[in-house]
Amino acid sequence: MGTRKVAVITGANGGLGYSIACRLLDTISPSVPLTIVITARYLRKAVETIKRLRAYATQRDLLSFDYVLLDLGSVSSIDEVASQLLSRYTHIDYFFCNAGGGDFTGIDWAAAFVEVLSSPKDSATHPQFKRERSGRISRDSLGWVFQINVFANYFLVKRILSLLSGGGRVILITSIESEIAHKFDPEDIQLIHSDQPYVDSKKTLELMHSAVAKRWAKEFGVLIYVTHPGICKTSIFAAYLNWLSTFGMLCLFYIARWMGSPWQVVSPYNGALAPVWAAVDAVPEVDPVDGVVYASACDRWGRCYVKRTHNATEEDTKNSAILVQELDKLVEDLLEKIKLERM
Amino acid sequence: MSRPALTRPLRSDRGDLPRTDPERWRLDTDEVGRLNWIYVRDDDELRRRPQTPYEKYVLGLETGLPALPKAETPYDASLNGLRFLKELQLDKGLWACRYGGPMFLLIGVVGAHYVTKTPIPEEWKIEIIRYLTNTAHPVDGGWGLHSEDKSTVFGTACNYVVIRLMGMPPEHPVAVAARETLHKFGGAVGCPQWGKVFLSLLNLYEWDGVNPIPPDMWALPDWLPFHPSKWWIHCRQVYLPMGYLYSEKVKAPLDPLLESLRSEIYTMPYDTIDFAKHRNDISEIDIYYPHTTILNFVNSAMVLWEKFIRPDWIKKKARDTVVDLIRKENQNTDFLCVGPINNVLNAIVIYCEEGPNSKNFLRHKERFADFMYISEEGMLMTGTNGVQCWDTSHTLQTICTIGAGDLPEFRETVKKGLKFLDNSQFTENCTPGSYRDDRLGCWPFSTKDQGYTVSDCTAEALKAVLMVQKLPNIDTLVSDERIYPAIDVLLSLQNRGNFSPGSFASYEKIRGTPLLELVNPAEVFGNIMVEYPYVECSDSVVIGLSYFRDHSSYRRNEVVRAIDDAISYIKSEQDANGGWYGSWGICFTYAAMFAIEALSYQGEVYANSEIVRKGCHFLAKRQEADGGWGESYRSCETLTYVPHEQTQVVNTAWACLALILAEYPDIEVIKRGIRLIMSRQQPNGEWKQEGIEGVFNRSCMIEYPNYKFYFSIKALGLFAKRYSNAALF
Repeated sequence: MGTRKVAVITGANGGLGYSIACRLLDTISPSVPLTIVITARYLRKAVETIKRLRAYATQRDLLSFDYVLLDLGSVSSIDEVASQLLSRYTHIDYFFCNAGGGDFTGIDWAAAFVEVLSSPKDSATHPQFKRERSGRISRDSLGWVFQINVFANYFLVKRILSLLSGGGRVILITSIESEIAHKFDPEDIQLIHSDQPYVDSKKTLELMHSAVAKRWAKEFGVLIYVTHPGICKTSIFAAYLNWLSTFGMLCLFYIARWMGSPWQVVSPYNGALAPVWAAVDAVPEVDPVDGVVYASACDRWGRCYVKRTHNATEEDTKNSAILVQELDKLVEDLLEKIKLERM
Repeated sequence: MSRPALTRPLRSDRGDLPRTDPERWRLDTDEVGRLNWIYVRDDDELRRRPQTPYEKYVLGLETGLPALPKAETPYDASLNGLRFLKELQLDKGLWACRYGGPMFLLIGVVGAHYVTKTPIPEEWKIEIIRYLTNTAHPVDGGWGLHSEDKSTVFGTACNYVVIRLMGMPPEHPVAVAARETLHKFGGAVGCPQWGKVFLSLLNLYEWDGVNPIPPDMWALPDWLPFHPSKWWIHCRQVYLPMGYLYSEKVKAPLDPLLESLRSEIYTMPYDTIDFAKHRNDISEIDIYYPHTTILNFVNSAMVLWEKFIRPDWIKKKARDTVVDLIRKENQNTDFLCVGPINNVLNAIVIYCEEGPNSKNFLRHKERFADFMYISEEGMLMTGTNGVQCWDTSHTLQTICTIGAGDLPEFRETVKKGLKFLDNSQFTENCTPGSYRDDRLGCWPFSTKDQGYTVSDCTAEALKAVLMVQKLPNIDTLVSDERIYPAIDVLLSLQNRGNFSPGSFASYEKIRGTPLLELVNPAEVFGNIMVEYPYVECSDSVVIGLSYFRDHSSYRRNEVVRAIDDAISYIKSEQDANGGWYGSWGICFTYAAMFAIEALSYQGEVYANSEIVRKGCHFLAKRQEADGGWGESYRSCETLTYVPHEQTQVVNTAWACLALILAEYPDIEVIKRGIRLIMSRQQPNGEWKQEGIEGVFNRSCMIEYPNYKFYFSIKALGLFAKRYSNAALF
């Protein structure tokens, strides 16, 4: 019986997060004591998710659960999560930064129609017809999408570095859609003026990763992998689709797959392949943390595998440096603000 | 989240908040264990009546109790603990405690005083402000459902109202922080149902924004499977007066302070709020048990019924039925009522029915104080009128179990404790027509006056009585003939037939189907609608009956059969991983102790029982690096074992007791736990307060301050008796 492994999965009640938990349970040997810590916004969701996961893993004896309530839209809440993790655990082996989201308004059906017909593979990979709201500001006065998808992860990981040092792994979740992100704009790092902040935030997340991955690996012994789940049917967009459009979307995925696109893995469980692989099976000597995105992909017949794509450019290196400077400044400012607000 | 340990000076004492003089508080009690804190203003009386060690202890003053010789062995440590605990005993033989934790009670007693125009004593106001200041969340300044909870709308809205009504100005930093948090949550419109009821009583919300609580249900034929008489006692006795107050739309008269509060607790002007639209508006932060579709349908149907269909004669009949039942509850409990909520709500009903000068209302007013408890951190409202009988039974059992019962230094302690149990036994049944079972011969959780027996309380009390009366030179105060009726009631409480046969529930047999949980309207609690089978209650009854079985042949066959059936139930409730879920204490370590004790009384131990082996392995695997155990209250919410940030003396004691009683072969495991308990003992024999110990309805935590004493003493003493009393260090 080995030492206990601790896995934290943010946003585990949703499609991908829940599947990451299931896949982790299926990947790590039952003889290894495992603690799965989930975060959720509300107690009821946390209790439900734990109940489901317990039912999923009934045969497992050395498994325990815990939860922490996390509201990504509140830096105070993110800070509280960090404090609680630091007080409850002496180490964290796997930290899945899964929670996040976007401020979507729906689908531009006319554009969708045209795009699907003219380039089915692209429309099934990085559709341009998903409409996002622009300019949402968080209660902490940051760009809201930037805060929940990028800043929250940076803040949280930085605060709990001591728990991750000595081989702990952070798994970031980006998206294939970052391929159509706008160029990084040093004047709008928080993506307040972007018309596609979700997509752009994923690019920003990747830039954040390239800024710190190598450095923090060396300095703290923490391995940060950036992964993406391919294209799968998750909860992020579910609110905007009814049963008919869901069916249409699935058809489109399968068509794209048969046309040779590797990304349409469809099920969140398949999507969880790369994140879980990076956490448990990746070997840093041959699977470097830096310069590679590890993605869940599949062949024409739906057999899944981990696909590596290289994403770093010279311009990216420059932009990463600018980004991380802004992130560090925000962290400092907000920590100060939190300290003043405390009773 | 767990609160950080108290640092002194307390938050309330760092600034400008007034404080009463802790040396002026005295705890009045009587033969049946009433707890009534009074503030003595007269200096002569103060002198005539010096403070007792218990009073000083609770108020955070130096008890002056001597440092005891350092304990090298577990047995010495247990005796030292007992020497300290003995000093806390009140002169009527009982042990008292601050039964705090739930944070939704003060709003009720404050509301009752407001509606009935009863002035609140100045000393209460000062100390309630202190308590709320000290329990405000250190990060956002709000309050939750219980004292270790995150901030919620229920806790923050209600306690904000309380702290303001007690006199804190709105610009005080404590009020400002709480108000900001409340506004961040969307204001008080998102309060769960009980909060909406309390706020409506205070004229800070409108009754048509409260989901229906129709008193009409009570007027229905009581053989209907959903009739309230089939519900769990706490649920039906709370909804009984709530129904009256809802139906009559009772509210406190508006005054300038309440007017101001109307503008403080909402994010929009009061007059613009359409309260009826917020009936189902409950903050996601608060919900533990969400509305089912059925409940929403039933609520909508009841709104229509009340608005358009119900004839006046039904409304009147329902009201009369409800008032009659409230009067009977008052009669059966000498106006204490089953708990703090119906204690205050029944008072409001009687005030409405009979006016401020009626004898009944005056007695109600006297009984508010039975739930108000002062401590170092301030004044809170307790979860029941105390834990007197439960604590006294366990302490006496502990003394006997560790073999200290015949030591001269504890003779008086034991005699007085026995006398208290003797005084506490119920001598008459309830008024007919109260929907209550027989209670004659049984014991309560708190006091005889409170009038309610609980299955496990009767069992543990009768075991304590029998154990003590076996000691040499102790007079038998409770004859066997007086115990037979308790056995009769226990046997009648066993669930048979459809609902978990063999098990024991808490106050009564299971009378209604668990399907009723689908209409649980409270939002913040789980498993409240009907009685449920409880492993711990079943365990305690098994323990009590087993002890009785070996003492007397009264109804021998039925007693043996009851034990067998209960044991079958207990065994069937063990999880696949060997744990038992605890519903009244935190959590798996608590239930394990009771379950394994119950099994050990049937001769089942590690060597011969797979169930016990699994139970032991469950515990052994969860022992922490420092040798102790610690469970977070998150265990109760999630129904899985969640360790506490730090090991806890109570969890360690429970785990050790389970392993000792199971005759677990790896004594090193137990030794390490014993060592931990000894290492936390203070020079005067006490253990310091750690995390919260108890729970109810899965989501609300509650304090049992005496657990860290008697269970630790018992673990140490029993270890010494069974294994070795050699020095462990």
